[in-house]
Amino acid sequence: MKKNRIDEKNKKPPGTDLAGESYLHMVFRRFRRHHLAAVSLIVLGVIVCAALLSPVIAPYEPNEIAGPFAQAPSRDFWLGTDQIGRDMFSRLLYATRISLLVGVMATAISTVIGVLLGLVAGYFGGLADMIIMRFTDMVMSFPYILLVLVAAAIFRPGLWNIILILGFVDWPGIARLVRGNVLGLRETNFVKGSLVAGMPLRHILFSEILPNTVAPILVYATSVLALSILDEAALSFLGQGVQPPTASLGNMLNGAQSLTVLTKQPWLWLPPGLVIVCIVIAINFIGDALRDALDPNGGR
Amino acid sequence: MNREAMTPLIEVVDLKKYYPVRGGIIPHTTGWVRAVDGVSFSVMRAQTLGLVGESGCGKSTIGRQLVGLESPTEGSIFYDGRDLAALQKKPEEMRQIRTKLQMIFQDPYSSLNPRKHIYEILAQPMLYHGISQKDTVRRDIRKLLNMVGLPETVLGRYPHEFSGGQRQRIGIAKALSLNPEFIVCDEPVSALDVSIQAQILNLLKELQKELKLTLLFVGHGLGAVNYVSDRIAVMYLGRIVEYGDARDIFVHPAHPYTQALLDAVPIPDPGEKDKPRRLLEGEIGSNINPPAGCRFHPRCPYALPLCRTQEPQMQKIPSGKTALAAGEHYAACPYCSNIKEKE
Amino acid sequence: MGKYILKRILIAIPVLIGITIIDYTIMCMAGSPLAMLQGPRVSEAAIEAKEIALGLDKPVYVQYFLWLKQLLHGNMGYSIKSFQPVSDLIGSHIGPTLLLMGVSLIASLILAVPAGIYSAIHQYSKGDYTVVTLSFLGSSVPGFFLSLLLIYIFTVRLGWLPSSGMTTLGADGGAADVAKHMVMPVIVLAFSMAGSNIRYIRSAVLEILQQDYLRTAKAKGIGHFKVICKHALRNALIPIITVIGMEIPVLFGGAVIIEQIFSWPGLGLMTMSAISGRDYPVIMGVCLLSAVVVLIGNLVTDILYALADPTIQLD
Repeated sequence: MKKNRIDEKNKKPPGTDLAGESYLHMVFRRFRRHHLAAVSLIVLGVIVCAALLSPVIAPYEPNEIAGPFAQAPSRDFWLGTDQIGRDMFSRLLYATRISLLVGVMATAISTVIGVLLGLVAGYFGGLADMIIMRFTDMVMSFPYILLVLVAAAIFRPGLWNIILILGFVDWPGIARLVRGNVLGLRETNFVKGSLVAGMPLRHILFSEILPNTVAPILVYATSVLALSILDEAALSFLGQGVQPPTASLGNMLNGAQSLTVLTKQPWLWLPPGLVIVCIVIAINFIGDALRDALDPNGGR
Repeated sequence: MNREAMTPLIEVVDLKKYYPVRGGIIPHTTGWVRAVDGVSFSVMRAQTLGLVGESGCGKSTIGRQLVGLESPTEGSIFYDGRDLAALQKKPEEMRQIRTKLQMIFQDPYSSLNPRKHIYEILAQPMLYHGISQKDTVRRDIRKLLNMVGLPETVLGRYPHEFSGGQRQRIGIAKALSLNPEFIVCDEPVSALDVSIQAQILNLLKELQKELKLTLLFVGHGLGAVNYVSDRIAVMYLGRIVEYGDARDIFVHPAHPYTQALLDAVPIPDPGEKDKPRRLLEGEIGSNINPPAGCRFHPRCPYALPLCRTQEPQMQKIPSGKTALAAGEHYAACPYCSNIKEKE
Repeated sequence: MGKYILKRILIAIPVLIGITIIDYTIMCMAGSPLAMLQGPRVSEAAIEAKEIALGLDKPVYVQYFLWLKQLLHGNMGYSIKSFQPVSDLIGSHIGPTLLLMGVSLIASLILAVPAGIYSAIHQYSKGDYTVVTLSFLGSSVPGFFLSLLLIYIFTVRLGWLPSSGMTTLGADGGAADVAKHMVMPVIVLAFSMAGSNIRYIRSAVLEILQQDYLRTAKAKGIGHFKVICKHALRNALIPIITVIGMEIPVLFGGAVIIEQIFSWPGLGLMTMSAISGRDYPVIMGVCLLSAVVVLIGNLVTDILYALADPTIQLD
């Protein structure tokens, strides 16, 4: 859909495009046109830096009881304190770090699984393809949250279990995407040429085929990242995710299920919620701009 | 032509390739596409064999089988006297022979990986097979580029920066990079502009002479094939219908199908425009259920009742009938001699 | 056509069997539900008796086949906690869930279809950017956070809407009361679904708008509005069908969280309590039910797709 935008704005006679311009340069130029994505990149950059530097920035230890209970924001405690007197600002920084960690790790795991299964299914076809795709159908048939909840309930909630569970649930989309691409790439002459040249399988899979399907994987992975962060938050909110005292953006909101917190202490649940929204929306905007910038059919 | 040192490099014996047709609610094989249905020929060392026919006649399938992209359903391929099927069990030998059999593809736009620059495309196979070492590979590649008429500056660029003709040159360089003895040229010019076609054909012809290459040139236009080939095999529906010396076939086609193919070649001479032409009618038949008897009979202007039932065998065309026949000339039509007389 | 449907169903069957096996495997990895009963006041013998009564002493695969056999007779087993038949439990909770899901789906379509089409027709206008940006917001706000915001505003601050349950306790209820309870959950579900739907419909309509036949229609001098109504909308049916198909699993999942927050007495709430109580037969039943619904949803989508688009190959 987005390619039209470029076609219309940037009509060049065919053939003049690209000569001498590197692929990355072109991607960068096309990405920059999306102002919201550029802003998102900055916002996300700030959030990620703050999260990474939380030990430096945070005024207090995240689990330290630093002040009076449930105090409203003040000069000492920028975002107030929680029911047992921990500094909310410090907790928020550390929580962001945990939530980003969960999101990135889960995305990494599901991308690796999805890419490998997709490559195998698409390249070898036949029985392997059938088994992998039916298995993908099965995983996809389970309502996602339900599956995660059941798994979380069984495998004792905790940071690494949440990462593993989300990672093992998110791969089917990537597997399908990769398989579809590989099916097409397998028939291209450059892959056939590599076969004729007697190149080994690992060269054909990882050097010829995979680089040609990186762009759609990257775009898809951004949406998986956004989803993983949302899912971690939902799980932790329901008490099935990251367990206290470790702070995550989701379990900081958990307290808002009590009416007192919800009505009287909005500083306890508004900031983490807003941080989640900021992170996820920034990732989504960036993903959308990437989809456009990496679109091989788009105008150059 | 030098006829003393003629030994076959490639021999194909009764080659068949059937593809299953799958269908039904529970998928199962409901029939077979007989893409190649019993083909035998040999390609002499340092010669070019042209393989012509309409699209769908199985000519490209033969090419793919020769380089190992597809395995034969039946029949054997011998390379330098060695059965390729038997070599499958010896991976190391197979790997070495693989490099000796290369291919140039029809569509130069998809034959180069768009994510790699030309240096990578050319260097990786050479390094893998140990044909070049890290310190000499640049020099070797420069030599290759020189051979195919490209400047060295192409190395750092990506395939999309080149025109079709340039890409085909890169494709040729890639095929040559592994020092092959035999190259299948799968319609190497049919995706190119007419103005470029001649350049590429000339390049192939020169390289063939210079490097003493053995080529199988697959094409659908008899003109281009004739230009580069020493011998020609004409295919129809998975079978070879005529086989012989290129000039011989071009001047004295024996099989009615070859005659029709030749008549389809435009003649750039206005004086000849009234010459009667035998143009083919109808479509190439189905290779799931090929016609009984002679496969060409539904479209053959001379078909006799016997042609519907009896499958014609390859037979030698007596040299008396074809004045220039210096080499061997075979056709799978028992009546071609009669046809000549009828005219 | 019949052949195509039959083929799709035949593909779905192994998937369904696989689903039950995966499900059962996960349940078995969780350990015995009796572990929760154990304690100083429960004797070994009592546990053993219960184990035999529940069939837990047999090997896993035997238990699986017993369960499958029962299932084919329409018996989904009994809840370990309340000893009610699972099918009864599901039956008594599915009504509210279906109501909530149905209304949310319709609401999201009412929101997404006009917005998506508007956005596509007025591509690159301010309105288009606004719609697209809002749609990103819709798919980026966690449902539970939006719920909290809504409760905070409409229940706590304004006192307009009830925040929990399906009917007011003690009140007679009636349709108006239920509707009032439904407003907030429906807003949350519809908003988050509409986000991705708007973008999907927008891009699908954009694709249709640049098809050659539409350009021909425009060139013939048919008015812009007429072109869109007569030609584009019929083809836009396909993405709308797809959207509905895609939303079925999302609805099932979303319902779990939303029902929990708003104490909506549906399947989601029941599932959450079954999960925390490790009530395997109930969890199993819900998973199976939802997987079947998703499978059927996909199947119906595929078939409608084929009906709406004659160019799709049925093989």
